[in-house]
Amino acid sequence: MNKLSKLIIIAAALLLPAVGFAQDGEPGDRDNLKIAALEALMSAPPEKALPLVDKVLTGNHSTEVKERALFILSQIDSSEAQATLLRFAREDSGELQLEAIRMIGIGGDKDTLASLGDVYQVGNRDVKDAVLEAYLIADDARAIYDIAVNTDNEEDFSEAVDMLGAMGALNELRELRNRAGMSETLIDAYAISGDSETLRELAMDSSDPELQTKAIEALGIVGGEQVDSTLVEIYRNADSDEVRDAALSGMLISGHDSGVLELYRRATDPVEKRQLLEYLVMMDSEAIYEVIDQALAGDQ
Amino acid sequence: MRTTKILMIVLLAATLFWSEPSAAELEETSADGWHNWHVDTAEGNQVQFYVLIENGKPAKIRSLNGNCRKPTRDKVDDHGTVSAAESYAWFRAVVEDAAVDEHVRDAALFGLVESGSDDAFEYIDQILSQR
Repeated sequence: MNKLSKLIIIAAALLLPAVGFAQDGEPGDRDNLKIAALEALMSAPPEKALPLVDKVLTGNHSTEVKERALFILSQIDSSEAQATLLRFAREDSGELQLEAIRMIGIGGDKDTLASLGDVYQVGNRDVKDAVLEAYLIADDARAIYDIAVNTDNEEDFSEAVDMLGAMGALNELRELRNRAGMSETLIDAYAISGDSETLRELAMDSSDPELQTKAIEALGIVGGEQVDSTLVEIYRNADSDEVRDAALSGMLISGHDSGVLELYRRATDPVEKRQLLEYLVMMDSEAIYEVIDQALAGDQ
Repeated sequence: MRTTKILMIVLLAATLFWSEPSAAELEETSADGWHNWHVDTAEGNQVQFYVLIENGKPAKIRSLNGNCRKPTRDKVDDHGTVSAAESYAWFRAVVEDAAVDEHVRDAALFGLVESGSDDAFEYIDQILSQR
């Protein structure tokens, strides 16, 4: 080996450790370091952090690193950061677009959140779901209500209503009650949000038997002492088998075995008694042993 | 011979350019226990750094702004005001020390940025530009 080659090797050896530990390790390690470096920028002034974050977003980096860059943008309090997030939400595609939309939800900037309405209108199902998720994260039930009340698309309506149910947005869901062609999804949302008051009203309304039975069953999902009493009351006053069966299903869902037992004891029709007994068995109720004991003793 | 001289000059220049930054003002931070210093940033803020050294290596790094309470009641070795450059150099050395816990190195990246030195942002840029 000649002198020149040796010097080049020595120079390379001297330079290698000097460029820092950033080049060490596997690509995954380098990404972890980049992500840590990006996170550190959260403590930097926006004018220092933004150019570096922008550079990552326009550069050749892994999706994971770019997704974290979008998160950092959501944490930077500046209109430029919001504009970049919105640009990705509007113009990009795939995971980065969806992540940018979610990050707008995390950032919670009202103007940028409002701009997601347009993104929703032109987006595919994934984009629409990401927008709903962003509104969920930002706790913006009103924006989801606007989507639900203005859409003619049943799937869009259902997805928005599901989200309102998950958010427990009672007021917005109640406002949707008078929407033409109220779907069963709305009843599910009342159940998930725990709105027994609205469900009780629907359960007592026989103008649409299908919705009525659905509402009665949904009461069982809400559960609780008051609902249990309501279900027993609906069963007793039922003027159709469908309503009676729905009340029984509601009690099965809520686990109100003492109510079923009470109905069993008061029933005089053998067919009805048999059905109630079957429900007690399905509910794996301890009361079944009480019934058997009484039957063996000849009480019932 | 001339080629050798040129190479030596290039080598020297490169070594100086890439050399580890020194942290003279914080050299005494190697002793076990809590250490504290503060940096007056260009924006007119003061950032306080508290560092716990265990077995000669940083085990905890806390940066505090304004009226935050100090993270320990133990005796703290106060190093007073330190320049942004020195603080940056200290944190960079921690970031690059493979013997230090990964989470502490991540915290050092925050300290490095919060020190406010322009070198810190060049260093972050260097990390982010790695292929």
